[in-house]
Amino acid sequence: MVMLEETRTESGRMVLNMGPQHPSTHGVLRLMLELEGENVTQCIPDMGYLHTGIEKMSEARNYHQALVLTDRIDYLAPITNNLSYIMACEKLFDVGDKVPERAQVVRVMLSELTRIASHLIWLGTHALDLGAMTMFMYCWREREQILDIMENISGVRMMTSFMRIGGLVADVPDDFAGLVADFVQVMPRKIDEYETLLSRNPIFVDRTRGVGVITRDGALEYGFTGSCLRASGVEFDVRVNLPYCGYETYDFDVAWSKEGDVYARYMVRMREMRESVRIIDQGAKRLLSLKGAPIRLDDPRITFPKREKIHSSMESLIHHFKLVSEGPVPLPGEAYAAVESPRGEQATYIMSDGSNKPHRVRFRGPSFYNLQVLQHTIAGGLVADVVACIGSIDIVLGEIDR
Amino acid sequence: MVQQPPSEGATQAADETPPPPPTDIDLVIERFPGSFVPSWRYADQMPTVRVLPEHIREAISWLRRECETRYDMLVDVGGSHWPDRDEPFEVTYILHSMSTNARIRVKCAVAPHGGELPVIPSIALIWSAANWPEREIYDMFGVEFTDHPDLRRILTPNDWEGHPLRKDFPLGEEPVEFYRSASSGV
Repeated sequence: MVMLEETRTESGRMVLNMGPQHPSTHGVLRLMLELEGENVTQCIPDMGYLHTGIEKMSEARNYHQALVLTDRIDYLAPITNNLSYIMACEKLFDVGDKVPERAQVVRVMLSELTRIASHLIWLGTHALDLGAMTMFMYCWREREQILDIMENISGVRMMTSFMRIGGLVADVPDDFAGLVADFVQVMPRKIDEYETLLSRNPIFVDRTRGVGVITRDGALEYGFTGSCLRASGVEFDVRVNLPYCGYETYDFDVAWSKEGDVYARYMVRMREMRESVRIIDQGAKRLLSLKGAPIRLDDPRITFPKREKIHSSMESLIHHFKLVSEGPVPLPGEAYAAVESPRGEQATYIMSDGSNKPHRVRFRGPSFYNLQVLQHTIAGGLVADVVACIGSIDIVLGEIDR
Repeated sequence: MVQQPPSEGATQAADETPPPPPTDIDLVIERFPGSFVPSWRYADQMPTVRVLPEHIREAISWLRRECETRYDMLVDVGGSHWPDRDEPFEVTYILHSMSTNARIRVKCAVAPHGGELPVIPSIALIWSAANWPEREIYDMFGVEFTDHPDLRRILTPNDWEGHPLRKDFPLGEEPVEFYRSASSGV
């Protein structure tokens, strides 16, 4: 990491060290800013403070075990990380198209709940960075409702690890439908409430309109994905362009905008939350008609035998033991699977050499690519806009550093 | 490219119709000598081609700007280490075309010479999105990218020794029981 020796350069410009403990850097991002008065002339991001070697650790675990590590990559959206990892495994085991429908519906619903939860954190902290304290409290209140749903299905509020190769770890409990119905009913009105606070708030609009503009070409040049890309005028959404888990059968619009500034990214995410609510509502209706349907594929190579069988049959017990101790073994090969996480295209790329552990697991974190453009957008702007830019790109350092 | 086994009806029809137009993979193989489709299982059905390191920059540039499909988004650049292969260090580029939603995977493999780091031409100058991923591969695998604008370590500290994702880099934890290697059989 680059160390600063002097705080003033020869030209009289000041070097300001922002982070890694600065609250608006959302985790442990460090920015070295070269300032000329109020203007930023240069910005050098420095990261790696949260590097935990998740990719290396995955290589030492079998396919079931590495799942729990994926929760910790993008810790604001664990479900989508789980999903991309599990989808890559399913492709590797050639069972990608055999996952039961009920599992697919629950996967879609949980992904969208996570998207809203993650966007709420983004909205709360982004507004807080720009001086709107109330938003933070409001957003945390609704996020709590989503975390309650997560706790209800899995017993854990954040790191649920709810997905399994071939389906889900368990069926959702009976009161899941009620909790989701409550949420779907409440959330649109809450989003209206947020918009009355921010969308036409002159302070918020002044600080976000025309700030941190990223053009369409710039977005493609720097490998943008997700809401940031859509705010720059590219209608690309993995859910629509490369559908997975049956997203093509849901009715929803892709929010996008042409302006490419901080305000556009705000508006895109607000619309995205509304669309997510629509998807959850459709998923809840489908779940009713699929009551009692299987939630996991029955494939002895990968999935565990039923609990009752383990207690009554010796073969099932051995089968269970082999799957737990040794794990499933795929054919040699590789698979890349991408999902639309709240931040963009989150992908897992697994290479197998035919042993019970992956040879190489790569996680493509959308924030890693999205953050690259930051140094070019904030150079030339005001130092006060730096926090607006970081907030609008919606980075998660766990995903950047892995 | 993974070939779908044709059904009986399809084979009959194929006799009458002209051969299908060349895919982008065919065109890459034609344009850049030494390129080929590796015999390996691509479980995600993504068309894959391997090109020689000296052609990688032209190949990516051609796919992005000249090829008819216009792969205009660089999705991912990742590395991997296969100690048993002749060219142990592999860099994988995944490109996406906004107009057709097609994806293509371009691979490039190199071997180190003597005690030096393996070298691959950088594409960061023609595509800025590759800047940080290439730094990450340099950091994690010790692959050197020539003409990279800013080749520094990115995730580990500057004074870190070794390249963590290489297979000979120790993990520093207890070995797991019941390990089954690819060659041990059932």
